[in-house]
Amino acid sequence: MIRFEAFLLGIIATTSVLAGLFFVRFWRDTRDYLFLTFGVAFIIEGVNRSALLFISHPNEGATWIYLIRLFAFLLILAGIIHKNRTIAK
Amino acid sequence: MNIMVRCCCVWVEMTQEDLERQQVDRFVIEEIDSVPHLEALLLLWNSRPKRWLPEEMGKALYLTTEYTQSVLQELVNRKLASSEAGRYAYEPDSERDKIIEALDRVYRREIIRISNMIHSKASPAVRAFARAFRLKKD
Amino acid sequence: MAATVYILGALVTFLCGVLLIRGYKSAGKRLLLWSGICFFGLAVSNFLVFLDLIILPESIDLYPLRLITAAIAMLILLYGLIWERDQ
Repeated sequence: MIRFEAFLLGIIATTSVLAGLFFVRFWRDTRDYLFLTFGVAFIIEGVNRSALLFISHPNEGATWIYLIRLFAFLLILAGIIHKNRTIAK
Repeated sequence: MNIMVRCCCVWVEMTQEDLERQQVDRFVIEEIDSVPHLEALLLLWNSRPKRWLPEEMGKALYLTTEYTQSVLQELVNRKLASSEAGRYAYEPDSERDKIIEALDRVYRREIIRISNMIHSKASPAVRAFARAFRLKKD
Repeated sequence: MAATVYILGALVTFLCGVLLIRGYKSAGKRLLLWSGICFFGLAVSNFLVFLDLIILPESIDLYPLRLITAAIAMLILLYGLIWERDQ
C-alpha cells in the first residue's frame, strides 16, 4: 500500500476513535443515548479502518468491511429514531 | 379489601409522581442551560401572561440587565418565551405547560437536586447537538 | 449489497449533516457547524465509494480521493469537538 494512503487511513482511524470517545463522554454527561450510538459507531468505524491497513489496496466492497460499516450506520439511525420516539411519548 | 384499595391508590399516585419527575428531569436536562435560565422561565410562567422588560426581570433575579437580556433571548430561541417590542412573556403550549407546572412544584421542593443536575450537564453546544436530531422542529 | 450499504451510508450521513446545519442555523453553536460539515464530507466520501465500486470502470481509481475526503471531514469534526465543545 502506498505510504500516503496508509497515512490517510491512519488519520481516519485515529480521528474516528477519538471522536467516538468524545461522543461517549457526552453520553456520560447527558445520559442521551444518541451520543452513545454515535460514539460506538465512530469507534467501530475507527477499528474497521485500522483493519484495512493490513490489506493492500483494500477493496471496500469486501463483505465484512461493508457489513461492519452497515452496522455503524444502522446504529446511528437507531439512535436518531430512538430520540424521536421518546420525544413523541 | 379497603386496605388493598388504599394501597393501590398510593402505588398509582407514586408511579405518577415518578413519571412526572422523569418528565421534569428530561425537560431540565434538555432545555435549561443554567439556574438563571430556570428562574427566569419560572418567573415568566408564574406571572403569565405578563410581559417583562429585561431590566425588571434583572432586578427580580438579581442579575445584570445585559445578562438577563441574553437569558431571555435564549428562552425565546428555545420557543419557551416570546418577545414583543423588547418585552418578554411565557410562550404557552398545552403539552409543555403541564411539564412547567410540575417543574415549578418540583423545583421548590428539590432545589439542590435540580441545580446539581443543571450544573453537572454538558455544555449548551453539546445539548444543541442532541436537540438538532429532533426531526420535528417544535 | 455493497452498493446499497454505501448509498445508505451516504444518505444517513447526509441526513445527519442536514439536521446539524439546521440546528446550527437555529442555535448558533459552532460545534454543529463543524459536525455538519464533517457529515457532509463523510456523505461525499461514501458516495465516492459507491461511484468507484459500482459505476466507474476499473481504470479509474477514486481510492485516494475517498480517503482524502474522509480524512478532512474527520479532522474538521475533531477540531469542532476540541475547540467548540464548551460554547
